[in-house]
Amino acid sequence: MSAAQPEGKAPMLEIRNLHVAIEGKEILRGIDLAVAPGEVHAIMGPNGSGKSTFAYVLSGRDGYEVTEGDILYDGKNLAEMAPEERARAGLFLAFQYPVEIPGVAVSTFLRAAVNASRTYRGEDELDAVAFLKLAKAKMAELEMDEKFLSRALNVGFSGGEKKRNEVFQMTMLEPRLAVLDETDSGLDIDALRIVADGVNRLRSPDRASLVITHYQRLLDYIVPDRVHVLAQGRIVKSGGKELAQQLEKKGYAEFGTAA
Amino acid sequence: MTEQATTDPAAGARALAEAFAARRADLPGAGLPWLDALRAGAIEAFAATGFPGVRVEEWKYADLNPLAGTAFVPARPRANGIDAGGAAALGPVEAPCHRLTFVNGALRPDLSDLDGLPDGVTVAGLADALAARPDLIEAHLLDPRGLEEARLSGRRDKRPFALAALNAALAADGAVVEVAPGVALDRPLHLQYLAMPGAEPEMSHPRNLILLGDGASATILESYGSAGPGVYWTNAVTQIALGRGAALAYLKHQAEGADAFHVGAVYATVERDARLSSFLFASGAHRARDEMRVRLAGEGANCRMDGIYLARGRQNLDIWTRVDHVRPHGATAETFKGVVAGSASAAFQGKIHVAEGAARTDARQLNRNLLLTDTARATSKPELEILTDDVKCAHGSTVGDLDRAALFFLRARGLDEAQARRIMIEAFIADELEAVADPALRGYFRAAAEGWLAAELAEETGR
Repeated sequence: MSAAQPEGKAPMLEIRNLHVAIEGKEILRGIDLAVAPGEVHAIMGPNGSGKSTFAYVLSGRDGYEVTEGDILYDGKNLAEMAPEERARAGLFLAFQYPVEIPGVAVSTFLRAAVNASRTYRGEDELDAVAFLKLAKAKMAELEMDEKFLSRALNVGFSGGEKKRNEVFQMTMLEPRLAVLDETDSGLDIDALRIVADGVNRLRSPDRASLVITHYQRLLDYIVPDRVHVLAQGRIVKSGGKELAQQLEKKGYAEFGTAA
Repeated sequence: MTEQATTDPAAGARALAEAFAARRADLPGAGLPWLDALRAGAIEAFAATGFPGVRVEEWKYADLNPLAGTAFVPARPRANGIDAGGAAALGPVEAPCHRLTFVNGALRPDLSDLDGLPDGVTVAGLADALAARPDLIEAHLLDPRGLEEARLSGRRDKRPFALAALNAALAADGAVVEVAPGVALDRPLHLQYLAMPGAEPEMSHPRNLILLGDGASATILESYGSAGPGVYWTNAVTQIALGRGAALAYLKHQAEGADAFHVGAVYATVERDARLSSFLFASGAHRARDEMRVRLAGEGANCRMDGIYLARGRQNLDIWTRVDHVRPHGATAETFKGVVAGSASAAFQGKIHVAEGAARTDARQLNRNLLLTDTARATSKPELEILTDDVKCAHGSTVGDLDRAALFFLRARGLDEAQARRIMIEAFIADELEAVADPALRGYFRAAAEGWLAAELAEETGR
């Protein structure tokens, strides 16, 4: 059963029969999905089901080849857009394994990223003072230490700090479609709550989120409108938030293991 | 670049010997018996071996054939249309410096600024010093007849020092800096070499002497640049002697013209408990060779060597360093970073030699190279020779390109490829710039790096 669409709301993201291969090996085998503005969709599944492949192909990473089907974002073919074009058009991927970039301070790169989006949208760039003010406010909401701003991106950060840094970037960039790739992994319950609050603060009728997770726990905090089970490269079941609780009880066994 | 009518290297060497014969009587200090003998011995040493070629291990990557094959005449004085204010503006504007300015290798007092030089600090041109204080020069000028490399075969090889010998023969000017014991130079001293190329390729052979007494301290910036296009050759030798407990921050900026040749050698002796911090920023010239030899001659002597080399287009930059630990408790920390773009090539060879008597030495060396294109090349040859136990020595060397996962991440956050590359290249360079302790001087080098990067990225996107 595919996602029902609210009357009159065109989907922000429409995925039709998507097949994706990595180095010739097919990982996604025909995904259909529609996400309308205002919605939060959860993608759950066992390891090896293709969850991260799904996240990476949406963000435009090299090596992830669409062999069949379409991904439409605001009606435009996403596969034809470079990673930076997708980001500027409001797509954000919170990485499962955020990369470390020595020598590049969080503030340096984030200010450049924020201004790239603002320029694209026709807004004025933020100068150093305005950026700092905004950054500090968002960091306070996420209970992050301000000194992270001057540290090299993710270098020496704990797993939880890296995930919080991803959500911090998201709150600064204010994306229209946020894709969270296992943002809960490695987080204790307090960090989970803070991260979920950050995501929830962005919820609005104009924004949508795709929350990719293995465990149901995050979905107690980021309550989804629809839940989809991804197994062996296909969406095998969709339902409301109760589906997440059923999976918690019964696991993924009925959907088979990864091929 | 336009190559001038080329001669073969041997003929080039003979022409230089003839140039010496024609000029010897007019060189500063001519008539001083010790100097006449030194210069005569120097030209003989050069003529015996000629330009060091690829078979001389230390010069293997210098690629001097285009240099050796060009006919050079001695550089002539030439008006360059700037005044003292203009000379200052070419230097580190945020760090007011004392300054000696040379144009085409000749001292220009009218462009220099030594106002307020503290007591105990003497700064003069070499030509003037040879006239006024020949004994001082005689005591310190390195005699190239004594410069040779002992090879494993037992042979004494003079070839690595051929161009230093040529400098000794032909040096017409340079800077002589003395800081008396216990005296601290209040502001950096800028030894500024500006070239005004002429219609024919010209050469200059600056010889600098930097002498710090026991407990003295100073910061000295030595820069080489050009006011216009054209082929020229700077063949410079800088001698540094640090007395016990002295401290010198020595910064060299090689920003010669795009068609120029630069050969620079620094010979430093560091006495007991003294400290040399050197920083090299090399981005200019068509072919450049920068050599640093440091002898840690006393117990507890300390050397920090840092550098950034940036090569693009069809440049070849060759960096060669050697540190000799001869007494105990010495320390060396050496880090060089290179960025190579276009079809350029760069080489780093770093030798640290720890002699038998140098127990408790701590020596670290790191060379990292970033290649920006498929046609860029970098060579990295670290070498540790350790002849004693009880030492801590480490070295590392990398040659690679920009991390693709990091580039993808930056693009996934909305930065286009050029912006992402720029941020990562800046980060690679920036942390080596931290080695420059003075923030105003650091800003001077940062601006130079930003200029280089902007020009390179503009060309890459235009491609």
